[in-house]
Amino acid sequence: MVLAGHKEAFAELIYPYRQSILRLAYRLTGDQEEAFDVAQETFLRSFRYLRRFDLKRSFRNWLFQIATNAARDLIRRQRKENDGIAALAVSIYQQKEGVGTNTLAVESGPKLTIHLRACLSSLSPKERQVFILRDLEGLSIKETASVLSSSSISVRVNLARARRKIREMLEKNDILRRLES
Amino acid sequence: MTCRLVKALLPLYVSLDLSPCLNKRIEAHLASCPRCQKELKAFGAALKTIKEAAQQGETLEWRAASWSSLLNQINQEETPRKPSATLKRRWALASSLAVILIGFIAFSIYKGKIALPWATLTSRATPFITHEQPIDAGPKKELSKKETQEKMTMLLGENKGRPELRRARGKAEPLKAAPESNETNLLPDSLTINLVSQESGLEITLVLNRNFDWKGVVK
Repeated sequence: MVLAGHKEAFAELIYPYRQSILRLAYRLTGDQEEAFDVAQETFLRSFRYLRRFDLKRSFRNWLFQIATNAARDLIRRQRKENDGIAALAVSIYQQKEGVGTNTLAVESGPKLTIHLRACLSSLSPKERQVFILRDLEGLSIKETASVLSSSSISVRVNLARARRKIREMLEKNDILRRLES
Repeated sequence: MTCRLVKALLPLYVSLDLSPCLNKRIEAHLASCPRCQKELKAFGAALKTIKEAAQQGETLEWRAASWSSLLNQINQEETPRKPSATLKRRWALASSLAVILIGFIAFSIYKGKIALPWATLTSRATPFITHEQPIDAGPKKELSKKETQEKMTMLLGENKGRPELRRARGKAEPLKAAPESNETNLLPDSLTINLVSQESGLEITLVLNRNFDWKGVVK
């Protein structure tokens, strides 16, 4: 219908995915405003390239792929690659958890979110993408590989590294015990 | 399976992201290794914690303004359409013409009607590849028999069968070849040319060695 010129049909098509795309964008960028930008860009791109969509594929995974690419483009453009974000997030995290800061990331969630942000920031871009898609969005290894246009082996390697780093980070800062108590 | 290997695979085993065969082997190891079991528990707890954090924390909602702005942008976009039949026909025509053109050029090159730039360069470069020695290139190299024969042909003219040489005032004697040591020795080691004047009876004998160096005797 969309290809036949019914643009309102596209709004109905993307409506069920708007929250998940925004959440993914937020996790990938770590910033609310950037997340909105990435989500908007994702839906615009999906509209433009809708005729390239393979009907055999999952529409959600296709949107995830576009969102991941859009987030990567944005991060590259703004030169906020891993080091910058990591330095910022880790410094915030190490100061005091959520106290006396103006950052959206710290304001917007409870303690666990701050830990999550700090953990994600300690990962490389590829590890972060794999971890978010596999563990936080619940995609399978095969789906993650398809979204990131990489091999299953590469996904497994990056996932193992990411999980190991996160565990080290949690143990290093004694987060698990603090959360239990 | 060793503890070290199991430890390396635990990050993937914790969510059963390994092959069924590996999963079984790790399971068998874990059944008898309390240390690895502890390690697995720690991994499981860390992963659970981070997943809970992800579910609890991030409640980012679309603002009405953002959503309507997005829909407005989409409305302003052109409707994505499939490529038209005219465009497809044009592409087909252009590709056919390109194939014909490439075929024609390839055929012309094959037939030699079009000279390739590198082919021209090769033919130009050929004269530089020479077996002649430079004049002042130090001590002279002994020429092989074949080279000597070629040189003789070049100097005496192409008519090998010509019996005698004529000079301005003298009459050349037929070429006398030095006796050959064997049948394969086609060329003499030295060449003797006798010039006899019919008027004065003066006879000059020129003796040239294999390299056409003059070491002649004048009578």
